[in-house]
Amino acid sequence: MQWYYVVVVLLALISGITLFQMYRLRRQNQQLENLLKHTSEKLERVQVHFGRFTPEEVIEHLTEAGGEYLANMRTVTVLFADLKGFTKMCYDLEPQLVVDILNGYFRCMSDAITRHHGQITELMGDGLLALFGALRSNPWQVQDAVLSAIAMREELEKYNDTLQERGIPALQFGVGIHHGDVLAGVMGNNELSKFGVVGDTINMAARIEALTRDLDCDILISDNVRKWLDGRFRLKEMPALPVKGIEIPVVTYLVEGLEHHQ
Amino acid sequence: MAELMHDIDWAEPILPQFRDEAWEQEVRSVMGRVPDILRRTSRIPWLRKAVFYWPRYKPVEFSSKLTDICGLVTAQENACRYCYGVARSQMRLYGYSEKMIRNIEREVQLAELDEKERAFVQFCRNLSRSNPRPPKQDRQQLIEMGYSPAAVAEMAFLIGNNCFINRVSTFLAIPPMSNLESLPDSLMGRLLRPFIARRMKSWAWQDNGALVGSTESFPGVVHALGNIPAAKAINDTFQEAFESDVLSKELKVLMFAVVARSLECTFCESETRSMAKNLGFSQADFDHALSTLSSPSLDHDEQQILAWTRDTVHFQPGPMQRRIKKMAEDIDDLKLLEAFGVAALANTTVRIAVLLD
Repeated sequence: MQWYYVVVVLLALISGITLFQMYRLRRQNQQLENLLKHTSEKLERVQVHFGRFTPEEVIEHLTEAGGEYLANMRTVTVLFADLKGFTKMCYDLEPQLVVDILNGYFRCMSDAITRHHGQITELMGDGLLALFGALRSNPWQVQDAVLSAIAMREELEKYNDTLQERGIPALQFGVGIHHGDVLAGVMGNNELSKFGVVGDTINMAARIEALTRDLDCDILISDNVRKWLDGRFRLKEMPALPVKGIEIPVVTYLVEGLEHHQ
Repeated sequence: MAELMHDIDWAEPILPQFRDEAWEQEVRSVMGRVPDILRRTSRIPWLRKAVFYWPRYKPVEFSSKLTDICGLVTAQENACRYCYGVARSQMRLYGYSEKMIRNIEREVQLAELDEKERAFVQFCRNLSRSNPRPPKQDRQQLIEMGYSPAAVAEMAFLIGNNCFINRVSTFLAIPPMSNLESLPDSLMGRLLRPFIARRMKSWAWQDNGALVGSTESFPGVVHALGNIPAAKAINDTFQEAFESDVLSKELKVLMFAVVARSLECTFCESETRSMAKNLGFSQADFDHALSTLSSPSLDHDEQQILAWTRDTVHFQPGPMQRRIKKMAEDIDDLKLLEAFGVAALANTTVRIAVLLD
């Protein structure tokens, strides 16, 4: 009878080990599934946040295994804005106050730009670069950029009221808008890369913005922008001035406002 | 960009419920109860009809499995919290595992689907997202994989149909159906799952009647759907939507044109151009209206609705609902409700027109 007990004990032992292994495997499987779920959720959130700065198609390409986004040409409208005389102000005021003023300014500008379907892609000191039609095709991109600049002017006026109540000097800005082709792609290296655009259109917008100092005005657009605008916009032709890199003087237009204020 | 269900920013309902006893009787005779969305849309007959029938549309060219998956994927792509919850719960009640649903939501390659089904899921994502609209080769690829052209046409309708419901639900901010969402995990849900699934499946709707009346509302799109029942469904809705007099015909045509231009659909833009011409718009008037998103033939409320229409193509629900809430302070509820329907219908139509471009 002894062998019978041995067999029973052995069988019980084998069953116990098998059950234990099955339990372990199941737990491991569950842990892996939880990890996968957690990682996927994180990836999904990253993609959603990333989508505010980068076109969806670029994210799709980059998140695929071995994905690479090929640079391409896009037609966009570029808005370049810069504060006038802010560097001097930096020397006269407390550093933390300067940062607060600048953050408040960017908040107001960002609101005006996103309200008109634009996207701020760069903050450079007290300057900003916004694109219209870069994230997704936008047939109204030129009007959006100009309406956005008008809204920025209004926002700045309101912001200046609050600054003056605090005894801080009013801010003044210059805005340059140009429309044309840019090269869009993921630029940089393994350490630092981002979706961005490059090309003469960007440089031209920055140069038009610089003309606001020579012409003592705030919002200037190029002729390329003017061509796309309808009769709603009140424009004033400004004297042609030379700009770097262009042989003939460039004609710009001051955006005075809207014909029927909307 | 697809979002996870519980991450979706969702507001309180925008418009109130409206009780129409005769209508509720009709709904109850089919479903046994009246869902919230059918009360909130009940003041516009064509809209409530579409919201009642379209989600129950039963395709003839492919399996109910693809229909269920399509509901889930488009709701996720359009970040419609209400539809997402309904689609997920329905799938659980129909017997799909939580794991499979999760894989479809997050990584279709891991889901227990074959290549053809995966290609369909991708098509659902691309067409609902439409950023940009899927190229002709995507449809061609589906046909090469073994789907018939009629099946691809019906897929486009089904995706458009879901986009329609997703938009109407989002614009109205319909509250998620918490009872239905908790049902699959409840004891009653587990015990009665087969019966509940059978009951829900019995609501499937298919109108096999012949196309009646004029197909002039949007002839190309209706014809592209060929002989499938969807052609009649969309044609009837077009006609009833354009006959409704809550908003002007001029505004409706311009809303379609704005969506067509946003999605770069030359076919739909030219279709709306000729519809506008029939309403007395000159070429210049139409171009001006499209480039400025305003027209002298629209009143103040309608101007606001037209400007809003461009934002109905790609949006995030939270900011969209906050914007609508603001519009609702100015614009009459009835007009706003019809505007939701027309904007949703325009988005559906232009997406279906992918079959033509």
